[in-house]
Amino acid sequence: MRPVRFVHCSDIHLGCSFKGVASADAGLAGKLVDATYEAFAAIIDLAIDKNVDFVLIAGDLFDDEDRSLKSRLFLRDQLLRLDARRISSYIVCGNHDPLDNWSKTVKLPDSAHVFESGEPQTVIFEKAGDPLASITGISFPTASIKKNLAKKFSRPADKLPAIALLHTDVGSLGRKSYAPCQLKDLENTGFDYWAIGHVHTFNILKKATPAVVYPGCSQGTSPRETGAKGCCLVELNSDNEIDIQFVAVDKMRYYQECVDISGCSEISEIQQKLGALDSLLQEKAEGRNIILRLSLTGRTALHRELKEAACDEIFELAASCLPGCNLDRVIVDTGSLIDRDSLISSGGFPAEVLEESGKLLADDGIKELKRTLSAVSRNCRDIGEFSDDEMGQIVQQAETMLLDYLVGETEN
Amino acid sequence: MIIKAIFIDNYGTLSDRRTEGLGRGINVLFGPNEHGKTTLFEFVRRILFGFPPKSKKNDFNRYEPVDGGIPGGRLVCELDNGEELTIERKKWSKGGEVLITWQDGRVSRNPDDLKSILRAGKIFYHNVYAVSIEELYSTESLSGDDIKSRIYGAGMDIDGVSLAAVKKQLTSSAEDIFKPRGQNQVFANLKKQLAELDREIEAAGSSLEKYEELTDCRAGLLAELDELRERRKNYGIELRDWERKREASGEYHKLEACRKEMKELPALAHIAPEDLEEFQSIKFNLEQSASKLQQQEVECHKLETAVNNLEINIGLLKNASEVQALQGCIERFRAEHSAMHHRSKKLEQLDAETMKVKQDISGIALNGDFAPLNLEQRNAVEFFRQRLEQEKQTENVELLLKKRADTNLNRKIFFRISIAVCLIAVVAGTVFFFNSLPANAYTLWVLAFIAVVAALISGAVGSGENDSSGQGADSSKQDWLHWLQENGLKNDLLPAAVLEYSEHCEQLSQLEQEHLEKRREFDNAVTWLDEVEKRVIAIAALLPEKQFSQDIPSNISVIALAARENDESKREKNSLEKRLKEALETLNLDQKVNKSAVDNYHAFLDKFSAASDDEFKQAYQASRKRDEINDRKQRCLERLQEIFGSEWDDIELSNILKNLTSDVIENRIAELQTEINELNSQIDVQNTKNGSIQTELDSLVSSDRLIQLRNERERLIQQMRDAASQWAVFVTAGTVLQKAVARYEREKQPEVLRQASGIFRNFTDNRYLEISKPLESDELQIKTAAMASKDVAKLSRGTREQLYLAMRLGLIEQYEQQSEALPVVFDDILVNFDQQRLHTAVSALNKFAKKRQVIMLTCHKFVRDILLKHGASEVTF
Repeated sequence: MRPVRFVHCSDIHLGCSFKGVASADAGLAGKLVDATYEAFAAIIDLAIDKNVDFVLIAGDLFDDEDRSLKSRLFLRDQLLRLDARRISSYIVCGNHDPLDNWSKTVKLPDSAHVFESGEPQTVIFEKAGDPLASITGISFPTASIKKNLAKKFSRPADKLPAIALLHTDVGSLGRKSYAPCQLKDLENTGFDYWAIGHVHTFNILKKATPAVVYPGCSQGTSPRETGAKGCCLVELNSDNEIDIQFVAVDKMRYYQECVDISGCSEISEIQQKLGALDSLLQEKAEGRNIILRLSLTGRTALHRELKEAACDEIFELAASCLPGCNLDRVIVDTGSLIDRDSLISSGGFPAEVLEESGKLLADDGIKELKRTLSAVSRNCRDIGEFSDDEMGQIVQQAETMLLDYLVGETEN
Repeated sequence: MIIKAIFIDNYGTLSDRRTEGLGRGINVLFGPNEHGKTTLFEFVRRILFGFPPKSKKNDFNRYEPVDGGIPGGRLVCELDNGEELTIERKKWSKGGEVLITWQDGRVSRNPDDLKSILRAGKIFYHNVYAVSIEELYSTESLSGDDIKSRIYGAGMDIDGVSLAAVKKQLTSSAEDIFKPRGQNQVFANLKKQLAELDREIEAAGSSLEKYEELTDCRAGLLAELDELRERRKNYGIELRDWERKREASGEYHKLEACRKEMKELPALAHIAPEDLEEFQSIKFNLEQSASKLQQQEVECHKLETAVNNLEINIGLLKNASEVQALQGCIERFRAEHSAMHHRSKKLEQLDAETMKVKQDISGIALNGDFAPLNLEQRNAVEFFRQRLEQEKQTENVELLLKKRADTNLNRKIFFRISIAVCLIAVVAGTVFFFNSLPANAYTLWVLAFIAVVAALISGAVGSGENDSSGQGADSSKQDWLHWLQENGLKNDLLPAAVLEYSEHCEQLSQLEQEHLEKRREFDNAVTWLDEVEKRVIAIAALLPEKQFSQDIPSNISVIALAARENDESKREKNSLEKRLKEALETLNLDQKVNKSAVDNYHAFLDKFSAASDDEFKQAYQASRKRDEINDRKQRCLERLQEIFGSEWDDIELSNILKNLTSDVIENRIAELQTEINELNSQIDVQNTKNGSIQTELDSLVSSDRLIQLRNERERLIQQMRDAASQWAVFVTAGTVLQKAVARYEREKQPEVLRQASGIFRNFTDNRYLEISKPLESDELQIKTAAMASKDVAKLSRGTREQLYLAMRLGLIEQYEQQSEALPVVFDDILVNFDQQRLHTAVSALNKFAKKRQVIMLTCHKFVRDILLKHGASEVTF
C-alpha cells in the first residue's frame, strides 16, 4: 500500500483580528485583515503544489462566535480549489468555530467532510477505488466543551493507517481548558497519527506510535504569538513510518524589540541603530510583513529631547528608519544620564525615591500597587489586569519619570 | 576638606589670579561689585565638579575666559585627615581634564577619584553648600508649601524642584487619563468609542443571517420568474402562429393572382433572355461587318487614286548618281570660276614681265636661248672684269659694246615677238582643238610656225655681225671678246653686263616656268568648267519643266531639288501601292465576313419564326411576362413553405386561409401582444428585485466590515491598555513620591530639624527655640521662646531667611556626620541683616565654622568688619 500524504493544519482563525496593535495606519489595518486569509490560502497552495491526498483541519477555522460571512465564503472558495484538484478535506470544529455556528447556506464542496459532534465518526479515504487511510474525528457542538473527547476515540478495525482528528488541550487542567486530555489518553487509543489543534505553537508531543502533533496556528495574531506559524506536511505509510515536516505559511510576524540607545548623543546614532534593526528583522522575517513594537531604552543624553518630542514625531522618525517594518508603536523608555550610584550615595531625596521604587517591586508592594491600579481594569474588563511583567515596567517607568522631575542630567 | 589656595589660570574675567591663605573658620573675601567674587566661587565649584558642556540648552553663565584661551586652574586643598592635594582642571570638553595630585606624589586623572573624595554631587553642593543672597530674597515670595519644599528640596539634592508641584503634576496627568467615574478623560472617551464599535459589530455580525435570508428570498423570486417566463413563452408561440397565418394569407392571395394572370397570356414560343442577347449580338455583328466593309472599299478607292496621281521622272532617277556628283561640284565650280579671272590676269602679268626681261636681254645672247651662266662662266666673267678694269679700256669697250648692244637689242626685240606669237598661236590652237574647232586650231599652228622661222632668221643675222665686228681689240679685250663669242654672247658686253644678263636669264627662266604652270592650271580649269557645264546641260534636258539660268551652280541646285522630289515621289508611290494591296486583301475578307453575318441573322430569325426584328421583339416581351409571373408564383409557394414547413398542404391551407379574414388575424395578434407586454413588465419588476438582492448579496460577500470593525476594536482596546499603562505610571510615580517623602521626613528630617533648631536658636538669639514638623502634618512649626507654635508663613521675612539659612546649615551638619566636610560659600547673605541679627548670625556662623571652612564673599565693608571682629580671616584675591 502506498504511503498517504496529507497536510495537517489547525487554528486558522479566519477573520481574526490582531490583538495588541494600536497603530491607526490604514495600510497596516488592511494587511492585518488579510493576513489570516492569505495564510490559509498558502496552506491550500501547498496542498495543491505537493499534490497531497487530503487536508486535515483540526478545529478553529473561524475566530468567532460572530459569524463572518466573508470567512465562510472564503473557506468555501478555498475548499473548492482543493475539490477541483480532487483533494479531499476533513474538518473538525473547535471552541472558536463550534458546529452550531456553521452556516447551512454556505455550501461546502462534496469533497469537504465536516465531522459531526456527539460521537467520533470514521471516514475511509479512497483513491482510485483503493482505501488508503481512515480518518476519525469529532467536532465541538458548542464553544465550551470541558469533557475529555479523546477517551471516546478507538482505532477502527481495518488495517489502514488510522488518523485521529480532534481539537483538544493536551495536558491542561485549568478552568479555561477545552476538551482537555492527557497524552496517555491519546497513546492508548491505537491510532497512528493524532492530528490535533488548539495550541498555537508547533509542537510534536510524540514522534511516533502514535505521532501526536500540534501544527500550531497558521498566522500569529497577537504580540505573544511570535515566531514562524504554519502547518505540517505529513507522509504516513502502513509500516508506521511517519515523516512530519513543518512548513511556515504566515504572512505577518510580530516583533517586540528594545533598542538600547545608551550612549547615543545624536539622533543620527539612533537612526543608525534603527536601520540595523530593520535589516535584522527583515532577514528574520524572510520576506513576511513585520509588525513592530519598538521600545527605546537606556540612559541617554537625548532622553529629555525624546520625552519632550511629540509622539507623532518620534513615530515618524522611527518609521523612516524602519522602512521594512509596519511600525505599531514606539515606546520611549529611556532615562536621563544620571549617575544612579552618585544619587544613591548622596543620600538625598532621589536616593529615597530609588529605594522606594525598589521596594515596590517586592511581592507585597506589587500586590498593593496592583490593587490600586485595578481601578482601571474594573472600569473596562476588556483591557484585563496588568501582568507582573507589566507591573515591573510601570514601576521602572514611574521611577524614571520621577527622577526626570527631580534630577537634571549630571554633567560629568 | 578645606581649600587652602585658589589659582585661576583662565576663568571668566579672571586670569592668572592667586588667592592664598585660606583656612578653617570664616574666610572673608572682600571686594567691590564686579571684582570677581562670584566668579571665584563658580571657579571653585567648577574645579570640584567640572566645567559645564557647551550646550545651547545651558542657561547659565559658563564663565568663558573673556580673553579667550582655555579655562582652567587649580585648588590646593587639605582633607580632614590633614592630607594635602591639588585638584587641577583644564579645558571644556567632558567637564574638563582633571588632575589630582596628592602630597605623597600620587597622581590621578580619574574623575571618580575626585567624586569619592567629595561624595556630594554638583547639585547637592550647589544647593546645600552655597547660599546666595538671591536665594534668601526669593523665600519671601514663596508660599508655605513652597518654602517647605525648597527647604526640603535644598537638602534633598533636587535642583529647586517643588515636590508639591511634582505631586500635583502627577495627579493631574493621571486624572487626565482616568478617573473612576470620569466621563471626559482619555480612557472614558476610548471606552465610549469601544461601546459604539461594539454596537456596530453587533449590527455587522448579522451578515451571515442576512445572507441566508437574502438567499432564500432570491430563490422564491427566481421561481416566480420562471413561471412568468413560461407563460410568456406559450403566448409567444401562439403569437408566432398567428403571425404566420397573417403572412401566409398575404402570400396565398398573391399566388392566386399569379395563376389568373398566367391564364390570360397568349401561347407563344418561349424566348429566353439569352436568346435576346444572342439576337442582339447577331445584329451587332451584322452592322459591324457592313460598316467595316464600306469603310474598306472607300479606303481602297482612295489609295488607288493616290497611286495613279503620283508621276515619277525615270530619267532623273537613272542619273541620280550624276546629280549627286554635280552637287558635289558646286563649290568647286564657283571657286574655279571665280579664280579664272585671276589666273588670266596672272598669265598676262607673267607675259608682260617675261616680255620685259626678254627685251632687256634680247640681243645679248646670240643664240637667243637666254641661258644663265654657270659657275665657271661666272668666274671667268669676274676675271675679265677685273682685268678690264685694270687696263682701263672701259670706255672704248663700252662704246663699242653699246653700239653692238643697240643692234643686238633690235634683233632681240624682233626675236621675242616672234617667239611670243608662236607660243600664243600654239596655245590657242590647242584650246580650239580641244573645243572641237580644228580649223581654227590649224590656222593658229601655221601662224606659230611662221613666227618660229622669223625668229630663227633674226638670230642668225645677229650672230654673223657679231663675228665680223670683233676683230682688232687688245688682248684682254680680245680675250673677253673671244670668251663672249665662245659663249654666244654679244661682243659688246661688259662683264658686269654679262653678269646682269645672267641674272636676267635666271629671272626669265623662272618667269617662264611660272607661266607654264599657270597656263597649265588655267587650261585645266577651263577644261573642267566646260565639262561640268556640259553635264549640267545634259541633265537639265531631262527637266524641261524647270527653269535654268546661266549660273551653273544654281542649275545644279535646281537639278538636285528636282531629283530629291522625284525620289520622294517614288517612295511614296511604292508605299501607296503596298497599302493598296493590303487594303484590297482586307476588303476581300470583310466581304466574306459580312456575308456570313447576314446568313446568321436570317437563320436566327427563321429559328423563332420571325420575319423581322419587330416580330422577334414582340415574341420576347411575351416570354418575359410569362417568366415574371412564374417567378412570383414560385416565390409565393416558397414563402408558404417557409411559413408552414415542407409538409404544408395547399388544399388544407386554402381551406384555412379562405375563411380567415385579416381583421380576425390582426385582432388576435394584438391580444396576444398585449398579454406578452404585460408579462414582460412583470418579469422586469422581478428582475429588478433579483438584481437588488444580488447586489446586496455581492455587497455582503465582498464586505469585510465585520473584520475591519473587530480589528478596529482590538486597536482601540490596545490604546486603552496603553492609556491605562500610562495612567498606572503616573499613579505609581505619585505613590513612590509619597512614600519617599514620608520616609525622608520620617528618617532624615528629625536630625536636620534638630541641627537646624540649634542654629536657628542661635540666629534668633533664643527668640525661637525649635523647628519641628508633626508627623501627621506637612507643615513646619516654629516654637517660640514662649513655647507657642508658629507657622512658617507667619514669620517675618528676615526670620524666614534665618530659618532658611538655619535649615541649610542643619542639613550640612546632618550630611557631614557621614561624609567629608566641604567648604561652605556664602555670597553676601548677611547684607540685609540688621545689626542685632548680624551679630547673632555672625556668632552662630563662627560656631558653625569651627569644624569646617566657610568662605564669606561680601562687597560690604561693615559686614567684613564685623566678621573680622568676630575672628574671621580676610583673604586677598
